[in-house]
Parts: sequence; C-alpha cells; structure tokens
Amino acid sequence: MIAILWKDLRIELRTRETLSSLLLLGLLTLLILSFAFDPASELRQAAAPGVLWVAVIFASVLGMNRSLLHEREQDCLHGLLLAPVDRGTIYLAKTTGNFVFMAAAQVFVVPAFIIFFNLPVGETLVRLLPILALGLIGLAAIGTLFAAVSLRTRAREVMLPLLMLPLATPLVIASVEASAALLAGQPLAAVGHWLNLIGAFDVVFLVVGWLTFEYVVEE
Amino acid sequence: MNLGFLFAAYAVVWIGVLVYVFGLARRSRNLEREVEELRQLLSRRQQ
Amino acid sequence: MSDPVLARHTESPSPDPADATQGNTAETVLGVTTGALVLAAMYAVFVYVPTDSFQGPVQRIFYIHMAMWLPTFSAFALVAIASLMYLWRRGPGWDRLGRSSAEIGLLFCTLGLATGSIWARPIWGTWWTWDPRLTLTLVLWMIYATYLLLRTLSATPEQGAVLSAILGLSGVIDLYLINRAVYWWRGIHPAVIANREGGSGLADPRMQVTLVICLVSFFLLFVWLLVLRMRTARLQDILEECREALARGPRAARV
Repeated sequence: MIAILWKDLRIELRTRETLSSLLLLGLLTLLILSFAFDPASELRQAAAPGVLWVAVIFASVLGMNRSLLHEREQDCLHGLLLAPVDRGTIYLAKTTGNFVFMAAAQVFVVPAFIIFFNLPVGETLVRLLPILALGLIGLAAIGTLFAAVSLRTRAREVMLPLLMLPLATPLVIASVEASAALLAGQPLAAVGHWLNLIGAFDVVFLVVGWLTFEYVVEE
Repeated sequence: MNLGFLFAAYAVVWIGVLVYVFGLARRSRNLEREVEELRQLLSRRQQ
Repeated sequence: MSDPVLARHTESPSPDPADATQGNTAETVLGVTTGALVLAAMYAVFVYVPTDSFQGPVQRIFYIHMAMWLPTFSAFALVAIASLMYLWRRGPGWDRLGRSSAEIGLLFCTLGLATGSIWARPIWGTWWTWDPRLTLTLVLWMIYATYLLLRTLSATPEQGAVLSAILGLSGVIDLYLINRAVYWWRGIHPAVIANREGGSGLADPRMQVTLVICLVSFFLLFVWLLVLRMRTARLQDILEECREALARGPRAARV
C-alpha cells in the first residue's frame, strides 16, 4: 500500500496537475461566493462556514475527477490491477493520496478564506483544523470510491457530484454546523456530536469503499 | 376555499400513476415486439 | 454451431409463453383487487369520511399523502436488499428487483413530496420547509434518482447492475447518518413551522378507517406495479441476451 501511495505522490509531485486544479478551484469558488454576499451585511459572516465548505467540497469533487481521469488515461489502473495487490488496499492507497492532495490544496484555500472573511488568524486555524481533517478524510473516502464508479459511466464529470453529494449530506451538514459553532468560539466539546457523526461517516465509507472497490474495478 | 389544492393533489397522484402504468404498458409491448422479431431472426440464422 | 442462448430462445415452445399465461391470471387478480380497493379508498376519502373541523376539505389530502410513504420506504428497502443480494450472489433476478423497486419507489416518493407540498401551501402557507422528515426524503429522492441515472449511463448493463448495487447499499448504510444529521440540523434552528401536520388529530374513527384503507390499497397498487415492472424487466433482460447472442453468432461459428 505504501508503494502505491508513494507512486501517486511522486507522480503528483512531478506534474502538480491535480494539486493546482484543486487549489485554483478552491480559490475560485471562494471568490465567486464572496461576490454572492454583500460585504457589509451580517449575513456574510454568518454564511462564512458554509462558503468555506462549499469551496472545499466543490474543489474536492472536481479535483478527484481529474486525478482519476488522469489515471485512466495513463492506464495505470490496469497495471495496478495486474499486480497481486488486494483491491481494498488499492482503494485505501488512493484515498490517502487524495486526502493528501486535498489537504495540500486547503493549505492555501483556508488562509484565503481567513483573509476574505476577516477572521482572527491563529484562533481560526486551530479551531478549524480538526473539522477540516475529519471532513477531508470523509470526502476522500467517498470521493475515491465514487470517482472510480463514475469513470465507468458515459457522463463522468456529471456522475461524480451526483453520486457523492447526496450521500455526503451528513458530512456537509455536520462540517458546516461544527465549523460555525467553533468559529463562534465554542469549545470542541460542544460540537462533540457533530465530530462523532463525521467520524462515523468516515469510518463507514472507508469500510464500504474498502469492501466494494474490487467490484467497481472488475471487468 | 382550498378545494383547488385538494383537486390538484389527487389529480397529481392519479395522473402520475396512470402515466406510469401506460408508459409501462407501452414499453412492455415494444419489448415484446422486439423480442419476437429477434427470435425470428435468430431461428432463421440457425437454419 | 449451437449457441446455447440462441437455442434457448428459438426452441418452440419457448419457456416464456407458459410463464406468461400463469403469470397473467395472478396478475389480473391482483390488478382487479387493487383497482377495487383503490376505488373504495377514493369513496372513503371523498364521501365516507367527515370533513376535518380545523383544516377544512383540504385535509383530505392527508390520506393519500400518507399512503405514498409505505410504498416509498418498502421499495427502498427492497432496493437495499436487492443490492446486497446482487453483489453477493449475482443473480439477475436481484438486479431486476433492484431497478424495478427503485423506479416505482421513486414514483411514489415524487408523488409523496408533491402531495405534501400541495397540502402544505394552504395549511402552512409555504410550499416547502426544511423540516427534518422532508429534508431526509428529499435526499433519499436524490439518491434513488441517481441510482436509476447511473444504470442508464453505465457502459454496459452488467456494470450498471454492479455500480448501482454499490450505490444502493451505500445509500441504505448512509441512511442512519443522514437521519441523525438532518434531525440535529433542524434541532438547532427554530422550526419555521411551529406545529406540524395534524397527524395527532385523528379523532374520528372514520378517519382512522379511511387512512387504513388508503394505506392498504396504495400498498397493493405498489405491489401490482412492481409485478408488472418485473415482467418488463425480464423482457429487457431477454432482449439483451438475444442481442448479445446475435452479435456473437456470426463470428462464433466453430466455437
């Protein structure tokens, strides 16, 4: 598994395509959503966590699509499948890879978010970190599985968000609500139930992905 | 009175169900026809 | 040069006409019973049951609105079971059950949401609220609509079967989490509508009877539609087999 992960990372480091896509899409979404709200209004501050997560999700969905499409073009998947590796392991490796890419993209997006919404830097970072980490794991888990699924359809770009997002409802709701509470200054304990939910979601989809990936890639 | 809504709700259900049933019947007939055509084609091939 | 599939479909009598005749009797009985019960339900709703004192005549929508949910959730339960069984056993019958249930479940879900919305407008003053139950149902609707779309857009029907089974399973597993999330979400913000449907106000026993008749008759309608749809699905599968055999035929001469 480490080998596969390493392979993904090395390819990415050389080409940086996925990373830059994720990054730019995240920033772009943030920008456009900022236009949606009147800078002076209170609504804007209240909407901040929502905006952040829309940007994160949007970028993740598209970035994920790109990376698997890229893979398909290079036909790496076939090569991988020929090797005697457990399919579930391939899934886990890919998910971890995707998670790393998304996290890397967020390193730029989150500061932009802080700047655009005029939030206190240090506190925000610290408070949001656990939610971001947990949320991204969930997005990576469900995204990797359904990106592979959507590759096997005729309308790839459309299928991925359609597949992922309704199922990711708990993740979206929990992340936004928890982020909102944390940004408002509440302690981590207060959002424990949301964190549990996201955690449960992560575990559930990592397991589902691990078990069903082989069915997705079979010929 | 809100009778308009009452009528609308039941109309929606009835129309929905009937459209589906007729659609299904049509699909079924088309399929049966196609299967029959293909069967004939296949049996001719075999001869 | 005999392709077993070709042989099966060109032998006469082919197995299907026999099935069809028997199936037809049971189906007809079911259909007639369903029709009778649904008519009885309509009578109950419009003639038998008294008008609600609070909501007026519009309240009668309640009976048919509630009757939409039993089929919806039964259908989705069937999809879940069919998905699991298909991934486990790969029987084509499970696949047929999956797509038939999903289609009909989606129909009833749509009708449920529509009737609910039409009822809500005069009673609550709004077409939609983010009530936990409504939100949950809407998400569910999306998942199963995507299930059907996935089948349509898959490269091959076999793949469509597998992929949608995965989605079907994921959907049902996710259900609990979606439920929790949505209820907690609406718990935090004040409810738009202070007092939800007058479901508690079924004072008159005639109302209860009417409700039961509606629930039973529309559930039977669901079963009947499912049976019909399964038959069409079987036809689709046969057609697919024949087509494949045809495509193989000319080239598989000496195999």
